[in-house]
Amino acid sequence: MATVNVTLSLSSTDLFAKQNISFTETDVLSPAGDQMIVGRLVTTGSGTEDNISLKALDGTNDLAYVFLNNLSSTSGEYVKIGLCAAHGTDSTTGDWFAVLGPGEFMFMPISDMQDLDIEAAAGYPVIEYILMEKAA
Amino acid sequence: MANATLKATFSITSSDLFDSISIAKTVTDSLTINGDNRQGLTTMVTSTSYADINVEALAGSTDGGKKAYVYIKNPDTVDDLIFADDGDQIFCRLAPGEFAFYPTADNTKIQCKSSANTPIVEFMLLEVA
Repeated sequence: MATVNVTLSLSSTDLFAKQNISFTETDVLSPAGDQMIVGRLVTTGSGTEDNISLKALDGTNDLAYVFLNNLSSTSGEYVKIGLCAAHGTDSTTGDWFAVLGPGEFMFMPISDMQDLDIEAAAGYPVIEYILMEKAA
Repeated sequence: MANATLKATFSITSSDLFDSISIAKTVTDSLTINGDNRQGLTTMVTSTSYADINVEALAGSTDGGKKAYVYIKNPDTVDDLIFADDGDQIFCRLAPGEFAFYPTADNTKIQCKSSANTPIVEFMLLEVA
């Protein structure tokens, strides 16, 4: 079983007048599924959803860890992140749950989906990602 | 409300996820917070029924609309936390000790429930205009 260390730090001095934000979270993950992917994807463009898994995510609740990073630096080139009920199918309108603006990233233990898809709002932003299935 | 800045840094490392590839990457971003719903670090007792973690409905028009930066953590040692969108569609499940950070979109609310019992959810939610 592999070991993956993740650390998140968030800080702000001007969110609140009377309170600063500054904390760090760490976790040690043990992904043990049968699908681990480090990927780089040039998105196809607005109107087309690009899937990122090679086969259906499975195991109890279809759990997986996902890190996504939108490498674009062009204003307006955000990407919609949608969940796919079945691998090889597109997400539908109501399945869009996250968005990555230019330069933004996300990390999440996803659940109850067999795949993720990515749709660019404009241009062809490049997305780098790590997908680690939690259990077979 | 004046704009604010949230600095976010994420690191991921592994020497044994792959036999021939090691992972060691850190990304940083400086995020502008300009929405009208800023919820700092908060804890809430959950149950096996959904409860919203946002105080008011998410709105705004940036990047397709209803965008907010969300940090969520499960500090429990036993039970999972389950997160669903405004259509009750599950998209995230945090085992004990796990966390997530992501920009939510296209949903007026984020719902949370436990897999069992009444564990605490820790979260922060910062809306974008």
